[in-house]
Amino acid sequence: MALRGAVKNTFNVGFPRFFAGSISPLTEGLIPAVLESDEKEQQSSSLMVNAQKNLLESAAALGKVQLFNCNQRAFSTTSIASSLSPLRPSLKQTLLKRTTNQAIPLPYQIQRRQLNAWSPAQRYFVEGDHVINAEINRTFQFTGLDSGSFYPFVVYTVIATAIATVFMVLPWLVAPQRVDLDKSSAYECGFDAFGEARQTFSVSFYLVSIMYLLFDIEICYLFPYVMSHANPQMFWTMNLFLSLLVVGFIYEWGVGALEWRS
Amino acid sequence: MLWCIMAELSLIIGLIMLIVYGLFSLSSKDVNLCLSDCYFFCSILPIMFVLGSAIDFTNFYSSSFMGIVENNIIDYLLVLLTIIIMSSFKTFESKLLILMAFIGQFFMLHCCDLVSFYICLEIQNFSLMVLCGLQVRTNVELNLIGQRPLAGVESSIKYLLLSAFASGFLLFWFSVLYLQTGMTCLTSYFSTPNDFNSAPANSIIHMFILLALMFKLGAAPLHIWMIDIYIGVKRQLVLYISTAPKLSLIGFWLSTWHSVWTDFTILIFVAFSMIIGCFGAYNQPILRSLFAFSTVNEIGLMLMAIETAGFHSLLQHLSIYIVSMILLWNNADKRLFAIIAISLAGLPPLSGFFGKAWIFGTVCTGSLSGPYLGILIVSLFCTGLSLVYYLRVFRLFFMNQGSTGRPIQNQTIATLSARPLRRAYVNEFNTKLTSFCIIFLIFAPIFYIKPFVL
Repeated sequence: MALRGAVKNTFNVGFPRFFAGSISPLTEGLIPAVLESDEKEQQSSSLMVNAQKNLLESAAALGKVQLFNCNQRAFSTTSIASSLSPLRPSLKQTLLKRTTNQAIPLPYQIQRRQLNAWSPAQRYFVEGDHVINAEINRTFQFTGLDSGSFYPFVVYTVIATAIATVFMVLPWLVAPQRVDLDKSSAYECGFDAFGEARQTFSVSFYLVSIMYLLFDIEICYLFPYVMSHANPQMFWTMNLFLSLLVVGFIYEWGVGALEWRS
Repeated sequence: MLWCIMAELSLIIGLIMLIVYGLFSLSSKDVNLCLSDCYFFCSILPIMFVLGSAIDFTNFYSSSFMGIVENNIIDYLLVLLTIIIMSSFKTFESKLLILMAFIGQFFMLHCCDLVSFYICLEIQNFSLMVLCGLQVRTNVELNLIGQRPLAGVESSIKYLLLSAFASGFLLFWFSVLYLQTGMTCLTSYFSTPNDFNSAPANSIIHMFILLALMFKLGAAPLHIWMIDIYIGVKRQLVLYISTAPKLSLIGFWLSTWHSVWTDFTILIFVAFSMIIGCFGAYNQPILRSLFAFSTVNEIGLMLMAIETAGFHSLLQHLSIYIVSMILLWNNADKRLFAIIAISLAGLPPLSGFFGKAWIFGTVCTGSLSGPYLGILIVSLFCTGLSLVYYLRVFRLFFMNQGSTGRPIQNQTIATLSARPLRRAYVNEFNTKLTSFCIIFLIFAPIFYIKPFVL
């Protein structure tokens, strides 16, 4: 029961109510039905859900759709208790789930996707089945750093602020400060900030800035990669991409393009 | 999944190892890390790649090996061309860039999606841009032909900017197409060609996409960059630019694009290319710009062949064109030049005649109605006129030097053409190559007329 409490809590954290307005009435009705596995609560769920369930069951009877019982598979406490470790299902179980995953009917998939998004915008990032499975099978949410909760961002903000603060405060306290004219003047890319505009300067500035730009643009690829919860193929593709980048950088370095010639 | 990408993966890993090995061999004086090994690997990498992918295809489609050879004949032509061209580049970076361009070209021949086509085009174009920047002619050379100093750099920067603009244009109209249809896969366009082509908005999109593609091919109203590049960069790169990208783009057109687009707006470009390529070549002071215009003319002919004559005559003409280009830019002799000039002009004993004759012949035997008849008349007229300037070059080559006995100091065509001939870098490979090309140009007609004689 404590476990189930945690599950409930999870979805309260992961799925804030103020976004509920943007979700279709169909899935809004479905949410309690997924969360609560008690029969009474299922009976008290809305008519629409029941109608949909009936429809799906009749379709399954006709053999058109293989019915996937979301409630039993994901949240039954008995199956969790019967497994050896409740937090991490055994390999056999995972394999079984993988084989069964392919038969999930579309309405359930959509519903699960919308469950997993903590904002309407993030719904577009949280799409892969592996993410949804992880989300549905999760037993203890709040330490989970993978997806669906706002928690990782809180951690990120705290750590980033802490590091920035340390780097700002520590030199101020520890380092000896000898201010001269050059140090206290405004810094502008190595140029004289208030000098003549039509000064000639080294082409190497361009080279360095192009290098900077290149590696800056790679971040554009890295951010969606991180946000979209990579599957193994994507992981290795990204590794390949990054290795190409690194090899290019090594070549540039080795050829001597980065050496400063004036 | 893994087996499908095995060939590509091995290519990329091989390329990475090649880069690192080449870097070490460039920087060290050790005998064991020899740069010539690197060059060797560079030249066999395309072969291994194509063989690997051929085996890949055999596994997956389980057809006969010879059938695969027939289907992918353009691949093997491309590999051959890449290796031949790569042997005339002397620096490691250029070879590497040509390999990268080869990857783009190879995948362009096989891609069936707009996005993958765009990416392949960009891989090829990036490599070409960087090559144009690397292989600029020196100021001394440019001064000799009456060009400004730094004209080569200027032309490569123009090419960079214009090509980037054209790519952006292409991408934009691809996205509009995606907006209209909701798909980027060309095979899915193929399944509904009639609905797709009949919509008026889509024909506008088609025209703009065609415009960008014509820029990449160098067809006539968009040919200006090509003239500059021909003048500004070194000979081996001119050879590369005038052959390999055309081969890959036309191969893509044949394999995928033509089954999707059945619009005839391309005939406008054909007419422009024929006319401008014919009249623009007159009074060109520089031999290279003359041949640039002649390339424009040939592209017009090939585009006409795509829409009217059919693929066999197109491929035949393209291969003859490529062989004569190889001969032209590896040229070291006036007599060889005479053969190329006759072949390019399309005079009967050489194979250039048969390439053109088959295209015109197949157009004539087809339905000659409206635009086809007009384009046929225009192209025949322009081909006839272009004889004149080839023969004029021919005359200047032999007559002027015979009469004066020394190079003329003016900026005339004889001086300009004589210089690269004397400077030509002749080695064993070049000799073999040029003799092969000559034999091809002279004896190939026998194979063309054999079915009619025997």
